[in-house]
Amino acid sequence: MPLWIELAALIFAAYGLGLALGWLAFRRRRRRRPPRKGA
Amino acid sequence: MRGKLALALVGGGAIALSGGAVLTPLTGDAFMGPVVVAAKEAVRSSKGGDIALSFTTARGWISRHPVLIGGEDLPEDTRAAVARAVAAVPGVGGVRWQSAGTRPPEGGQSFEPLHCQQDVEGLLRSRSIRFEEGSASLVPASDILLDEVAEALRPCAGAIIAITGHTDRSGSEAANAALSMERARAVREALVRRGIPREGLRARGLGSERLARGLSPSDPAPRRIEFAVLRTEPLTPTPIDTPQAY
Repeated sequence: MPLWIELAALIFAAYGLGLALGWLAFRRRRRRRPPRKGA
Repeated sequence: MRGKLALALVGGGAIALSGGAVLTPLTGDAFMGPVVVAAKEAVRSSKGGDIALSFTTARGWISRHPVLIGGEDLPEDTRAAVARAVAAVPGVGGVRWQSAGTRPPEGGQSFEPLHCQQDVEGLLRSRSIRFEEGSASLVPASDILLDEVAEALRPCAGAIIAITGHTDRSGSEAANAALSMERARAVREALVRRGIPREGLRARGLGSERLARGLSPSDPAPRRIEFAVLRTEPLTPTPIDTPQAY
């Protein structure tokens, strides 16, 4: 397998991991903060 | 939400691919340089002699999976030791031989196909596969003979085996041709049920085109099924048979 494809796969895996962690953190923050009254 | 996720994934994929394509020419040589040096040293230290290493794919792209070239005259143990030493170098993803494949190099070890045609002919010399009068259904007594024929053909699985049906001269030639074809097909199906691969079996009907010589028209002998091994594939050892050599 060419090196550039391996590197691309590595970048994509890191990106996917970042995306998943970011989404989890975002969800957690949203749950902690109660919705504003009247909103 | 789904649209955003799909966009993020597709965009990320595009970024990753272009990142890989851009970064590899910039950093590839710096990354691969020490690996190549260490791999060449591994070949030298395991007495690989003139074995060369190619760290590029067929398209010329840099790869962590080197192809080992040459060294055909070296003993198998040495080749295996060289392959192991190179594969053990940190950064090397795995090795393969340029000369390796499912067939050994010219002059390599090969096996003659087994004589299944002679075996089948021997079986059918004294007995014949029999059918109901004017039909393609096999007489139950033929089952044992078909079992033996299937057993004799089993070593030639992978070869092309022709099953040819013949009839006598009674009746019209068109009907005879159709009947002989149906009978050949019936035998093929019977063999497939006994585990012979269908891909290798070719059924054809010749009607009364080729009568056996020296027989009277009323003789039942022309009504026969013949087997011929048309093409045999030589059986050769594969990398799975001899993993240490590859």
